[in-house]
Amino acid sequence: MFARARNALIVLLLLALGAWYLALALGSVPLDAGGLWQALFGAQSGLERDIVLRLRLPRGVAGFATGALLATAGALMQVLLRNPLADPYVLGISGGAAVGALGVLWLGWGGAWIEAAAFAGAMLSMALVFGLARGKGDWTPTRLLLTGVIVAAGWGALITFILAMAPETKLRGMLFWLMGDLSATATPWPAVAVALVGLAAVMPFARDFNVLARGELSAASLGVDIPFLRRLIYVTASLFTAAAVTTAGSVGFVGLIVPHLLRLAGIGDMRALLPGAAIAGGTLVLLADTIARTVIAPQQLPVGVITAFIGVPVFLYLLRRR
Amino acid sequence: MTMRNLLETRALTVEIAGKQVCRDLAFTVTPGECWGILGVNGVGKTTLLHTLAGLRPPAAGEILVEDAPLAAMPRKQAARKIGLLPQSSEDPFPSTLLETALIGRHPYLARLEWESSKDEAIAKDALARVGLGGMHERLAHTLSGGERRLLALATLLTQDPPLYLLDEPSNHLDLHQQIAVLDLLRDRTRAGTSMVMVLHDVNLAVRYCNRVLLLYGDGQTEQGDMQTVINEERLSRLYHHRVVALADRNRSVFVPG
Repeated sequence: MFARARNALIVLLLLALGAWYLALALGSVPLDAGGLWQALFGAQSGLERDIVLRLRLPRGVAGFATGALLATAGALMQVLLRNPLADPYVLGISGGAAVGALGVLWLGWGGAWIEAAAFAGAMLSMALVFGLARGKGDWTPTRLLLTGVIVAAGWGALITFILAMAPETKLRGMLFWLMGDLSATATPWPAVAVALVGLAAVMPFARDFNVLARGELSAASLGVDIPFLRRLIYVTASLFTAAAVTTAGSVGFVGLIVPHLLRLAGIGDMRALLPGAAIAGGTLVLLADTIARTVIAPQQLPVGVITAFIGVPVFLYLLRRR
Repeated sequence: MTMRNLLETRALTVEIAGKQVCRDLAFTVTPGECWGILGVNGVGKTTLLHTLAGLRPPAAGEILVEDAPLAAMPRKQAARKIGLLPQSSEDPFPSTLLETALIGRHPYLARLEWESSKDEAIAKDALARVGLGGMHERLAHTLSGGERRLLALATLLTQDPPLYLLDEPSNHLDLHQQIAVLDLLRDRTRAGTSMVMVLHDVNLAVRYCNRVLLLYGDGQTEQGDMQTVINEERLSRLYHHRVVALADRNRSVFVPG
């Protein structure tokens, strides 16, 4: 069990290294391996060093952290709801964030206001769904899912309202935010911190998640503390999603597809799936963003478009092969 | 020295949706006993089983496991004493037979501990005993309904607590598999494991259980030795339909009249 998980993680880490190389080397000033080494670790300063350390590296970190957060949040949500179709956005958290961010864009405020409003919207949505789903009765996955889907639909209506009312000059920025875009990220470090702290908090319970994935009744009879685990998953996955959408807008697809990609590759154990999803999700967004900013340069595409372009065929291929 | 009761209920009242399943029930399970719980659909057999497992609180009364109150026992410790075979199991995500059976080792492992080769050997042995040996890497959701039932039983055998609570263990199984599973459970009983099983088939209960608990509904119960308690009268009252006993060699077979 342990050896298999370790080997899978080593393979994923090697893939991630390859993606990092491409992300740092490619762009308007392409670098070869030697040039990249010089820029990263060399002594002399210069344009190349600035490009790599000030532009590509922070953007890469933001992309990697976003992907890691979304993929692990997706894996957690799927276990919480015991529904393979669940993703980080299914309970309306990205909708709340989007309404916050779009509201601020509409007002014409920029920079940190967008991120603050997105995070506030995500937290509001999380509290709203949690409070409503609990109600008087039990907190069943179905009730939580239905509450989340309905709240998400409400946010969707608000988003459409804002898009319909907003002046045309602001629409492009809004659409980029909705599709997920890393070009406007202020700082990647909060997302990195949330990912590291959150993973450290949930990993000790990864075997409990394996048991919970087989149903609450079986899990309870095997000694799993269900109410605690539900809250742990809900709060962690929500914070992950909030941190991701605050950093990059709602990048689609990563949270749904990466956990399934790993399961199709035989990594179903949550002790390998959670760190594996973090690495694979990060790698996917990193690669997608590298393509997004180079493929029709100097113009840039929203990264969310590319994650779907890569993800859909790969996923369908694996699904057919299995 | 008196033998400790594995499970004991004191004045246990269990209710579901305002209806009593049992009232003031004093019920004890000692090592090596096999109890059958009989009653009509909806009388609350599953609810009682879940209550005995500590998964839902009783309306009144107390449940003791080896003389310690179950309600105050850490869940993981309880899972080393009591195991449950639920009526049905979920597997929404792909998982191999070995991974699924290994879940039964969860209560024995420390928080960050991984399953050892010894744990794997226990799980593989359990899979072999239910007839699912040699396909450890197969995915659980590709199994048939009956095979999934056997897999759930293998998970319970991997957990191997001293008390098994079984909710219709013969459900979804063909005739020969029903007998094979109940034979397997009888072997475990002879080795000292105790069983409490909900069964739909009176004749399987008569054949395999040495104790019986009858749930009549409205909180009324009767219990005791299978041979002394089970008769045409009681079964007719239990099932609200005339039941007659047919002599078959040295035992009776009960059929609807």
